[in-house]
This record gives sequence, structure tokens and C-alpha cells, in this order.
Amino acid sequence: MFLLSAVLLGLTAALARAAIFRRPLRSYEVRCSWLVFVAFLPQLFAFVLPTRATFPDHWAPAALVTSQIALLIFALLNFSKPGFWLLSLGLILNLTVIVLNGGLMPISPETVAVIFPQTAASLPLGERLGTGKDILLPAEHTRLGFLSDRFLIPYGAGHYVAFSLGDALVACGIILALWALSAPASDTAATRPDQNLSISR
Amino acid sequence: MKTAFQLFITRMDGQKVRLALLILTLVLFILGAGAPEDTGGFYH
Repeated sequence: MFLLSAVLLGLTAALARAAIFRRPLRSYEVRCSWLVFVAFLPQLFAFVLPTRATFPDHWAPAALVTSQIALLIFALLNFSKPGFWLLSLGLILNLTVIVLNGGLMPISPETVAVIFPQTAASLPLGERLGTGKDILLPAEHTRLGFLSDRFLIPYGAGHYVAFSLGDALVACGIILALWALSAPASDTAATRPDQNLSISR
Repeated sequence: MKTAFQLFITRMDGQKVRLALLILTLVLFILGAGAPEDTGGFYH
């Protein structure tokens, strides 16, 4: 929910700015966008679709790392676009801590205890957490622990979301990338005049 | 009688499609880039 909230915030802000200044939303060219769709496929099967229940745990790290490498290539190819330097940096931080800790995002028992207060004690250390992208690792056994899922924000009554520093940067990057959709034409050199969508009608 | 899909295609010009594709690309990117759970945060 953390990152999807950033999408909603960015879109809302872009729509509000476009409405206030009575100008169209403008798409901008991104290179190799197909790469994102291809890169997401391994994660789709490993973490999203019901197949995640049968996806072997030992394949999950490979799915996550190869997917994120492809996403990083996409971000770097579009480095000059609005917000993409933050997307790239956030992804690099996440990918670094993931690779250094066996291919999954480390999360400490203390953090999990806040999210799952009733079941945290019974979760096995060093194992993938459910069918997600995290691995339960004690802080003292985590490499670059400050980049792991160690931050918590409340999500609903009594529920919490854990996120990493890389996630926070990705969230800022996505807000900037969406905000740029409502930029004046002169602000975005890559924007072509024929690529706009008026919201004033 | 036009099907819903035909109506959708008629109303969606190239500019709108490009914008929608860009937003979809960005959403998929963050879902993949966020390290924790499906939505970018390990939540309960």
C-alpha cells in the first residue's frame, strides 16, 4: 500500500495542477517500456498470482533479482526523465540489500513482531516470509540492515506497513514522474506537442 | 451495435493510450521495484 499510495498522491497532484493551470496532461516518451512488462512477469508468478503458493522458495530469489535487474536497466535507460534518478537510486538500494542477503529483502523479527504480533514468534528465522519477497533475518545477521524493511508506518487500525529506504526513494521518484505529466510544455524537452490529453473538457 | 470493446477503442485515441500506458508502466515498475510484498510494503 505504501507505494500505491505514492501513485495516488502523484496522480492526484498532477490532475490538480493540470486543472488549476488549465493545461493538458502530457505523456512523455520512455525508452523500452516493454522491458517493465517482461521484467514483472517473474514476480507476477512468484509473488502475486495464486501460483505463488506453489512457487518453489529456492526459485523466488532468482525471480526477484532477475526481475529487478531488468527494471534497473529500464530506469537507467530513462535516467534523464522526471523522477527516474530517484527510481534508479531506490531500486539500486533495494537490489543491493536483496543480493547481499541471499536474494530476498531482509526483515527483522522485531519488525515482524509489530506487523504480526500473534504469529511472529513462530516464524522460522532465515526462511522466506510466507509467499512474499521478504526473508526473516535477525538484525545482527543482516548485511546493510539499514537498507532492509525496517521502517514502519501505520496502515489502518492497528496495522502496520514495513518499508525500506529504497522504497521511500522509489515513492518520491514515482510522485515526481507523475507530477511531470502536468508540467508546462517548455519544462519537458522530451515531450512532444502531439502527446497531450486535455482534462478541461 | 457496437460492442463495449469497440466503444472503448473508438473513445481511446492515441494520446490517451500513450498516457495510460505510461502510467501503467510506472505502476508496474514500482510494484516490481518495491522490495516487500505485492504492493511495495509488507503489510498485514
